[in-house]
Amino acid sequence: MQLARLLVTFVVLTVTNAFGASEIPPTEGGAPQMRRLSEEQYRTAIADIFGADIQVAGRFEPAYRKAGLLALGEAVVSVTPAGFEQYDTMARNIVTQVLDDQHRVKLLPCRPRSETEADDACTRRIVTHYGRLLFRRPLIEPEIARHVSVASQATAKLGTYWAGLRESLVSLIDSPDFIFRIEATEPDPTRPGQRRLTPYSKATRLSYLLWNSAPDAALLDAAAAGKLNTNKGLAAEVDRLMASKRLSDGVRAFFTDFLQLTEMDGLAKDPVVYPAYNQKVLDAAREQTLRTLTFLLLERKADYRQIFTSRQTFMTRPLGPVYWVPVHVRDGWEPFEFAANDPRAGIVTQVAFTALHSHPGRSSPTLRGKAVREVLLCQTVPPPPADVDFSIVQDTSNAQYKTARDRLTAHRTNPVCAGCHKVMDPIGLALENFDGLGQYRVQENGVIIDVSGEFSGKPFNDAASLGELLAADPAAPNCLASSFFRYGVGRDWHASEKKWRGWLQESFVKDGYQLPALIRRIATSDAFFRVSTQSNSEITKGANSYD
Amino acid sequence: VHPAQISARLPTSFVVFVLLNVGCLANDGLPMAKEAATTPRSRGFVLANFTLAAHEGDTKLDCPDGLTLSPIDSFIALLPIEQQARIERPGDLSGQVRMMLGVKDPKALEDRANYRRLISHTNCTNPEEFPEYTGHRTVQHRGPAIGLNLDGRENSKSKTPAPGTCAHDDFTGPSGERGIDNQLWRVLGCVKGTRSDGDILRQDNAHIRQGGPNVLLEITDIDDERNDPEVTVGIYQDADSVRLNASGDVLPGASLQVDPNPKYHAKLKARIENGIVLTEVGTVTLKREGIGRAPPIDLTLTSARLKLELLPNGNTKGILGGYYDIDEFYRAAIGVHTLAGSQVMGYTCPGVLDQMRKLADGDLDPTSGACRSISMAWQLDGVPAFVIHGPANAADSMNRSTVITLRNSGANSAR
Repeated sequence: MQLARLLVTFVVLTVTNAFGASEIPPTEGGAPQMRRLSEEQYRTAIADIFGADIQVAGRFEPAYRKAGLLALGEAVVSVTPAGFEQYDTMARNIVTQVLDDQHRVKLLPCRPRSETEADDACTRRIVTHYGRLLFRRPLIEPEIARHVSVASQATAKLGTYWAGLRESLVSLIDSPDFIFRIEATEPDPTRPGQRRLTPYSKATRLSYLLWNSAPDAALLDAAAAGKLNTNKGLAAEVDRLMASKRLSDGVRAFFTDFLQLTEMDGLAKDPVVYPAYNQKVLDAAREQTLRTLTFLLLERKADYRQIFTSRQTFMTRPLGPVYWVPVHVRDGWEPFEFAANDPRAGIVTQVAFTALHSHPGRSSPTLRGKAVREVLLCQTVPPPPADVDFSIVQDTSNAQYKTARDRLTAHRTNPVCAGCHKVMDPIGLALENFDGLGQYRVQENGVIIDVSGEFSGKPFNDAASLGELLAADPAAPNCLASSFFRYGVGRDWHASEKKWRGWLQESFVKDGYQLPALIRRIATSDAFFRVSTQSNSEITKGANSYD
Repeated sequence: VHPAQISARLPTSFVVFVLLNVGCLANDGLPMAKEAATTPRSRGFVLANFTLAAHEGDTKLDCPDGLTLSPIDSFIALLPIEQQARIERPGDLSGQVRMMLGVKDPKALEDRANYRRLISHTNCTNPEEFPEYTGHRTVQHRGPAIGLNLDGRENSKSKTPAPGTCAHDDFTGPSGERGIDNQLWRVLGCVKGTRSDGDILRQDNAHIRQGGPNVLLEITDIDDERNDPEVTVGIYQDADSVRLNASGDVLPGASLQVDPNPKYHAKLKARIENGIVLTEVGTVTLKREGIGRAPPIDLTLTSARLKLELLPNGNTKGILGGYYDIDEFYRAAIGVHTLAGSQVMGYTCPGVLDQMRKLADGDLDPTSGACRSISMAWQLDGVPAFVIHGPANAADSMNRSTVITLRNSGANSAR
């Protein structure tokens, strides 16, 4: 009898779980997006389609960070006339390389009948082949006809087949269908009256989430066969893409955006204050953090929270003098682990974080604290008042206030400033053992630096113990889950997605905070592909901004 | 704050540093981190300055006869007074060319074939054929001069020399050190190029900054950086170019590879007394930048000794002394300068060789009774570096926390 009761309980639990899986909170989705390719995405697409030896030379339109992510900015930026000139110059340069003697033999699917006359049949094959890869969908007949016509008309005027084809290929690369990821919708047969993303738009969303690149031929084929509209077919493609080494490209692209590492490109430090600084150091620092993250989160499938505590990282010669550690390999990278009692633990103590969130000639506990709050915990710190007096904070040679802690304490006597600084400074002061370039130091102006403090009511002694408190704060994994979704869909949360967001965050906990599991949940979810016919401004009303 | 005070305030764990063994990978793909014993420790340096040890005092005292003469000055000095006046007139090209080539017979220049031969046959390439250029002026006093006591004695010309050496006058050092052996300074101390900001000294350091051959130093087995009766000092050729900071100075903290050729590996026993490291003698071979476009040359010092001061800011400064074969030194550093070079530096090749032979004090040839090598010294400054003995070698040269501590006590600690 007891056994039977246990069996019943087991069956009930199993069924409940099964139902639980199907009871994922429904969402209404956001509006379809039109997202400009980032510079990296543009370069990757050209390399994927035409080969890595094709050079892409030119200036890209500046990126725009919205609500913490460039991915959201991509959905609201446009192309200026000057920016389009740059795109056109790049396209012409790319096509010139593609059609040179060396490349056209291996890149073009056919040879023209004559070098001086139009060959519409061959042009059609070329346009159809490359159009599908560039536009991330098959071209429709009028598009093919238009691009073939461009080639034949240009050949007639310019005298050679190659000159004509060049104009046609340039027009493909210059097209908004390439420069923007334009999401298209179709009626959703499972929800009468509603629309859903077309399979090709789904494929593109998926491919950029997982690989930060355009769909490959196999994914386009799966889209053409309608497989992405079934759970099984979608899961199969997600698993295929996630099994590829290119998943790390997608994860690196996410963290580059999430941790604002793109800002390292324009970062300047005063070489008089930091003689070890140069651009190579900053480039290596950015790469170090990305390597650390992909190693921990993809290779090791570690708990995400370990990024705040792990002492494992990678070193390269340019970083050696900054970290003051030996680097054995002359070229390239080698694994490195800081000693168990080293002050460095977690990505917050890496140069990419400490140097990025500092001033050119001094560290900044406030900027670092703000970055931890806003970037890693998705919390909002209000901007400073317009009339704030920074004179004491900036005076690093102040005889009375020798350390940053002293100066900030003096600054905080102004009650207008105190509220926000109380939120930011204790975190940043824990990182004061790292100067404005991220080099370790014990003292400032002859005074031993005090790196102790309190976070969320709990005391810490140094940066490493702060890392443990950050890892223990549920805001950190919640922030990651939330940010990854927002990054993938290119928009902020919709009011209808509040429950789903909670479910996603809970799932992340259940999955042991493993990033691949989180990514798979997002990539195979209805919520990720769901679109609404309402505009984004209407549907985000009532949603919390971006926690 | 004294570094020791900072060190005392640091957790003891700071004194531990991580040894990375690249060849030993743990299952998780990262090398196993091992904690070395807290002692002994090691310190590594890369040279930022490496120049001939020059101590410039009052020229009248150093060189009572004045600085030594360049080829042109020497040539002119050989002429009768009236000819000297004529030859010094601007525009007398034939005279100048003759002097630059060290040609004795003006008629020799009229034959074009002979002219070509003469270009490669000068008083630098064939010093023995130009005995008239021997009026080389030398340092006459007995100090102060920079160098080390290489033979462990206080010598003077009147004393019986140590076995295997030749009688010579030792110098006294700037701080009163006795018995300094640096006969090469006696030879070169009155040469314009070795005086303040002279070309010879400037070129030495320029080579380092231009990526030329450089030297790595490594002190191992350190139990106590102030006083330790037994440490080891490695003197190695650096296989990498130095890394420079934005101001063009050698960047501290870089990882630099030891040249794999064992010829360039010298390990000398040493002791530390009051923060001064002094090695026992041994043979040291270093690669030095060739003069002009010549390939690098080997500098082999026998009975060499290194003295290093470990500075509070983490850097080091010191002196490397030893005996250098005079023929080799002539070929590598003097004769190769050619006439134009010797004119710029301010000496004549035959004059230097003549004086080196007269003042040589090491490697006595029992047959001829002459010495074949000459005592010399290099001044050096080093900044902290990680000395890497090949990618597979796990040995780090430097105690990380120690150097951090030292560096933070310096002027840069404010940031």
